[in-house]
Amino acid sequence: MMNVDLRSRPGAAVPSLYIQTGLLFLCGACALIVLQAPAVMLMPRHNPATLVLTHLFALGFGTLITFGALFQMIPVILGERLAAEHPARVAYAHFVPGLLLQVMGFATWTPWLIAAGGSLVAAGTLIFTVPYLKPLARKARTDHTALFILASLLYVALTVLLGVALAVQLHTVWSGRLFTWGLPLHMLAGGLGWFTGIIIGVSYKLFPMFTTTQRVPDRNVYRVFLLFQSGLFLALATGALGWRGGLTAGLLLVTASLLLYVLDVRRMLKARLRRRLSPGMQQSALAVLHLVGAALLAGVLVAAGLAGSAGPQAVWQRLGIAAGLWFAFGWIGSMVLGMLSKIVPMLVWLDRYADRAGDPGVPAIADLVDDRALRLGGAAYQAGCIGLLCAVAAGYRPLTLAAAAVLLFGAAYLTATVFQVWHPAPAATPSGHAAAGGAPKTE
Amino acid sequence: MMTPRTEMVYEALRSVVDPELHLNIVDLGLVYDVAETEPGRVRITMTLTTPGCPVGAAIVAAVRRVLESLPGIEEARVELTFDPPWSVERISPEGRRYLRLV
Repeated sequence: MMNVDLRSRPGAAVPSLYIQTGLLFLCGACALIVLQAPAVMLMPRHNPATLVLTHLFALGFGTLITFGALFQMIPVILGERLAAEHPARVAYAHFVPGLLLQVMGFATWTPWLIAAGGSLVAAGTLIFTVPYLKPLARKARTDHTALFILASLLYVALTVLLGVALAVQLHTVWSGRLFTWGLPLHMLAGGLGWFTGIIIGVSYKLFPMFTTTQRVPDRNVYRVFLLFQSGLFLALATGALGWRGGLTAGLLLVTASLLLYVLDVRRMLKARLRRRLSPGMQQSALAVLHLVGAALLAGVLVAAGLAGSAGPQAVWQRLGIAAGLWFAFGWIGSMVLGMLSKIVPMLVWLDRYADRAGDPGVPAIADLVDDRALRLGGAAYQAGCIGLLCAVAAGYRPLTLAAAAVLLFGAAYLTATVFQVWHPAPAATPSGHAAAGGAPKTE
Repeated sequence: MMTPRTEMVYEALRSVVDPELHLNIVDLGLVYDVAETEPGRVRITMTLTTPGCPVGAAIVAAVRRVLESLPGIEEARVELTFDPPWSVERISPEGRRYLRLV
C-alpha cells in the first residue's frame, strides 16, 4: 500500500508565489531584450546588459519556477510530508531581493552590490535546497527522479556559490585566474548541471504522466544519469585545471547522454495514449528539438574552436550568442513554460478541489486553463524565439528587435493565461462528470 | 459473479472521476477488485494511471468518501497496487470512445 495521504500534500501558496514571481521575471527579461536589443547581444563578460538578462532569466525565471514546482513535486515523490514551507518562505525573502540587488549591481556596474545581492541569492538557494537533500538522498537509492533532483540541487548550490566567488573577485580582484576558469564553470554548472539535469530527471516522470504514456520506456534513465553526471563532472574538474582534452571528453559524454534522453522522449511520445498533445506538452516537445538544435550549434562552435579554425570574430561571436539564446529561451524556456501550463492547473485543482473530488460540479484539471490562449501565446513565444536567434546569428538588428517584441508578447500572453488559473472561478466551463460519451478537452 | 452489494459499490465508484483524464475510475480500469470483508466493511483494490500520480491521494480520498456515504457501508478500505500496472487495455469500450482511442 502506497502513501496516498492527502495531508502529505503541500499547500499551494508557496509554489504559487515562486511561480508567479518567476513568470514576472520572464516578462522582465524579454522586455529587456526589446529595450536593450543591441547591447544584450554582446558577449557576457563585463557586459552589464547581457549579465542582467542572463540572471533575470536563469535565476528569476528558471530557478524560481523550478523551486516552486519542486516544492510541490518532492513530497509527492518522497511520499512524505516535509517541513519545508517556512524555509521556502525564508529562502524567497533572501532570493528575490538578492536578485534585484544583483541585477542593479550589474546594471550600474557596482561590484560590491553584485556580491551582496549574489550572497543573498546564494543564501536563499541554500535555505531552500538543504532541507530536501537528506530525504532525497534516502529516496535516490530506489527512485531515479529523486536521484536526478538531488544531483541538480547540488549543482544549483555550486552554481550560486561560484557566482558569489566571481562577484567577490570583481570587487576585490583577489585571484586573476578565477575568471579564466570560473565563468565557464559557473555557466556549465548552471546551464547543464542545474537546468538540464533537473529537466531531464523530471521529464521521465512528467512526460509519461502528462501525456498518459503506456509502459514508459525508461530503461535508459540510469545510463542517461551516469553519462550525464560523469561527463559533467569530468568537464568541470578538467575545465578547472585547464585541461582541454578532459573538458572535450566530458562534453562528449554529456552529448551522448542528451542523445539517449532525446530518443527516450521520442519513445515516450510515440507510446502516448492520446494522439493530440495539449498546448503545454507541444511546447515541451518543441523544447527537446531546441535542445538538439542548440547542442548541434554549440558542438560546431566548440569543434571549430578546438580545431583553431580562423574566421571573422564577429560571426563566431554572433553564433555563440545565438547558441546561448537557443539553449536558454528554446530549451529551458519552452520546457519550463510547457510543463508549467500543466503543473499550475494541477496545483490549483489540488488546492481547491482535492477534498471534493468526485462531487458534482468539480471541474477537470484541464478546465482550469484556456487552451486556445496557451496555443496563441505558445506560438508567439516560439516564433519570437526562433526569429530572435536567427536574427542574432545573421546580425540583422531590425529583425532582432521585431523578434524580441514577438517573444515578449508570447511570454506576456502566456503569463497572463497562467495567472488566470489562480482566479477564483475556472477559466472555462466545467465539463461536468464524465462516465463515458462526452468529449474530453485535452490530449 | 457480483453480489448486489458489490454492484452497488461499482455503480457508486462511477461517480469518482480522474481529474486529469476526466473519466470515471471504473471505466478507466483503475478498480481491480471490490470485496466485502465483513458486513459493512468493503475493501477496494485499485491502481493509478501512473505511480506517484499527484492526484492519487484525492482519488483515493474520494473513493472512501463516496463509499462510506452508501447505506450499509461503515468502512471502505482502499488498497493501492501497481501490480499489475495499469494499462490501456483496462479501459472499457465506453471509456475508449470517450477518450477517442477508437
